[in-house]
Amino acid sequence: MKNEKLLCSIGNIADKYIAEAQPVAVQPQKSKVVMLFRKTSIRAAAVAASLLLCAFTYYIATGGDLWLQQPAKNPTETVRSAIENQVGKDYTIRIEGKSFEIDEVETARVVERFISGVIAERRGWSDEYLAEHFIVVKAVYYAEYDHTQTTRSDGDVVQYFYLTRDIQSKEWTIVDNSGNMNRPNEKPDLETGAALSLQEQIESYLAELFNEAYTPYYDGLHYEISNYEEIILDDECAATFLWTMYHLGKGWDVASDEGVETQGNFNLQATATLNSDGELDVSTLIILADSSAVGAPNYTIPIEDFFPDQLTTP
Amino acid sequence: MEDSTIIDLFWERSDTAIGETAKKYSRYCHSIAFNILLNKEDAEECVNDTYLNAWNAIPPKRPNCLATFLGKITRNLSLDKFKKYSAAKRGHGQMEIALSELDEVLPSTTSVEQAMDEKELMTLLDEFLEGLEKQKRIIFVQRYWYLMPIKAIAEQFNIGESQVKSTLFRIRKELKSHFEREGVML
Repeated sequence: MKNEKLLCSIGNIADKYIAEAQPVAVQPQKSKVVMLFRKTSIRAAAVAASLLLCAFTYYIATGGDLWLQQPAKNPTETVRSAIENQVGKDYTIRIEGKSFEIDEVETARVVERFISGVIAERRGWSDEYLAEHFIVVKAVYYAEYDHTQTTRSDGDVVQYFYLTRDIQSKEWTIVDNSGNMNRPNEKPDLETGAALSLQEQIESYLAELFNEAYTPYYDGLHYEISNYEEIILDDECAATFLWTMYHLGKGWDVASDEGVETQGNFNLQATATLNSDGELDVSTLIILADSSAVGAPNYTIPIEDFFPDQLTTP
Repeated sequence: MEDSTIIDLFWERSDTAIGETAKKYSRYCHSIAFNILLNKEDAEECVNDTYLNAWNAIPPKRPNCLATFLGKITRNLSLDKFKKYSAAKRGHGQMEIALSELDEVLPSTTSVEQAMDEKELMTLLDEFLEGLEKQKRIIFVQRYWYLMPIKAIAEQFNIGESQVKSTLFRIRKELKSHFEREGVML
């Protein structure tokens, strides 16, 4: 075929053009030292997953609350060290680890829900790679805190820890943990202009997007996020949630619906990179809708595909 | 490890040459192969064959740019494998879409007597690329050399997929005009 010949000929273009166009996502792996100083290389860090970088990015992601972990070849030992080392913090009176176990089901769920797709594609992670380099450990521990110093609650805590494995040392490092069960209250103070949470940043972005798309059609637009879950891996965040759009019916189909509040639901996944302050880089934000009719979610449809265009396209 | 050191390992026929190459370039090569074949196992096979080909080629060769040297081998091996799949009706992936896009570049006229040989075509393509502005050139090479999906290109430049498509459409039209001016018949 002629076009095959052309495609083959393109294969022989000058090296300088091939090198110039080398996609960021597939650039050759750099050394650990270089990675620390180059933002583009930080993306590649998950592949090499240097311990220092993981600690560094986790430090940023958690606002400085390092886990004081000791990376180990057994991921449950890494988590155990992180929990036990909490006792060294000023506000901790007592910590007692009860159980630490690999949670295969949660690992599969997190991979399927948050990592497969955009993040895996961006990082060039195959299923095989993920199977060997990402894991979730469930930890159960008892904690007592000094309430003059922290708002954390005493008692049993169940928490999931997300770990990646260094490709060379084979040691596992915590890069994120579930929920806010054992963290200081990070609820933003909107009146004082404190930083927005990732959920609020996503909500704000989506509200603006939906307002722009639906204002020509509907009145009384407002929105709600529920079932929100997020995970942060190095400098990337993925979140899944139910997005509900409320609006007043126009009565176009059924006259009695006019003025009655109606709702539309969207199961969405948002992925974005985080800047050095741990905030979403909105220019990298991708919102995909679940395209699966039944069973496990499959986030593949850009949200923009749902927007009506009868009144906005000439 | 620096490329020159890796190449030295090949020249010394060191056992570590392939290991160091894989450490640095496996993801790069895998991505090229996967874009064409959309199959992890086949892509992995092409990448492994790439190392073997590199082992056989160095020495006597001493590539100026190891990345593109390996990338070209991977691309060629993957295209060969794709052709075999096409014959068996198993072909799919970016390759097929890219091929159909390139259909429109080819002049429909048969008035030119001499079919263009490979070297002349390559020179023409290089001339054409030299004349493109940088972003357009990168988009073109990412699409038709790396066989990257439109979506991935759009993400890299933070632009919409429709903008990438329209840019590619305009470049293909320019390339077609360029070929017609030079009397190319493939």
